[in-house]
Amino acid sequence: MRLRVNPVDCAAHGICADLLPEWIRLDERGYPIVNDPELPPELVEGARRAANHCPALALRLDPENV
Amino acid sequence: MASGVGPSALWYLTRGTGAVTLVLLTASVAIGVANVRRTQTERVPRFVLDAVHRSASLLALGFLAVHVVTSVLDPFAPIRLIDAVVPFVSAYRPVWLGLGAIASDLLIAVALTSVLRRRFGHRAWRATHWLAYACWPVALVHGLGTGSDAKTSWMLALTAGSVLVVLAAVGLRAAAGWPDHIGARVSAIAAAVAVPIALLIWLPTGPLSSGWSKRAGTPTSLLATGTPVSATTTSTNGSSAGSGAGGVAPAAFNASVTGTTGQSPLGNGLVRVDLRLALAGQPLNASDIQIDGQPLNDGGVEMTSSAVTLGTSAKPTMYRGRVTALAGTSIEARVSSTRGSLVLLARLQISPSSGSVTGTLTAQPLATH
Repeated sequence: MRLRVNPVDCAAHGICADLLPEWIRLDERGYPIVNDPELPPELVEGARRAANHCPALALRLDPENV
Repeated sequence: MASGVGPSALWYLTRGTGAVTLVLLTASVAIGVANVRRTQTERVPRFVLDAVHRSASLLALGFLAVHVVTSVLDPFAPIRLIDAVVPFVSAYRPVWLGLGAIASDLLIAVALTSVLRRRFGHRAWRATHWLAYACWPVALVHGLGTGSDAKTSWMLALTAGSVLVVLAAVGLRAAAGWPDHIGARVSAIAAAVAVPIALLIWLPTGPLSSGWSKRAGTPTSLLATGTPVSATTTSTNGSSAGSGAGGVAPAAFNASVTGTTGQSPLGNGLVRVDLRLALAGQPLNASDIQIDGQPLNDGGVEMTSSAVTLGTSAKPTMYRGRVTALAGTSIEARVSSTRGSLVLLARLQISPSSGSVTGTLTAQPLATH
């Protein structure tokens, strides 16, 4: 699975970093930095939750090869 | 009205779930208002507030469903399922119930677009989500306007607390958020100031006034098996066919009335409200309206049975009948004698302190056969 942030939609709520600290940290302005778009399988559940909770729908979890 | 469950179980459930729904909506709105922009503390991470916001909203939807279903099932108030969806079509307190229908529709729209957020897209979801700001105050006014507990101190405290919580949230948001939405900021603050002021002006003259629900015993919450009161109009004024005792045939008239009201216990927890009315300038110059029912906390009565008479002072029970619809202090009744039937519509002002009654009474002959 690939985890990506749409930088246009992102409004730096920071909820994703709360929910997926293993893979997402925030820069000094509060915008998320994704460790690596290629997500390890054990983090997929957490990433899905983070994507669902993004108030701006800016975090996307896509299948490979999309 | 048939005995059965009475006004108790379902009606209390309606009231209880209404109050809980308000609390949940308040929590959800307050978190939504305050939390949108990076409000967090060390102990409460952002996703917790977000989760509480979602859970409170969904719970509110569940309680709302019970609120609606119990109010429809309750046999005392004639509320249909459609009254909970389409505003202002109810025979029972159309305006105040209508506000509840609006709030309910808005909440359903907001919740549905939220659950299907990815399908609708962010922009559509966000635009719909603004309806929540309309939903909450409309729901609040619905509760004040038609809530059976609206005048109790605990419900007033709950309502005031809800307003304060949302005001605090708006204050937080205005202080911290919206770097680029000055228009939204100003209108939100204006609304936050205007709504409580409007409530403070409206409450003493509206739901909190004795005329709103207390009315010295005239029912507030009621049943209506007849047509809505607005259906009756008067055509002729001050005239009456026939004259002399016994010769009074049904004819339309419109009279001003004065009278007295009293309330007496019937035993088994019921009370009787008695309205003794004198009609000015009419051959039929005396009317008596008796409403029996369960007393409510707010001073009103939940009508279970009624008796209405119309006649002359010498023969006061020339016409007999019963109340067919009640809305506030408007009372519609149907009375009959061997000479025919009349539909009566009394619009009364009742002074709770003195027990005196003034108003108008119109009569329309009922077309029969």
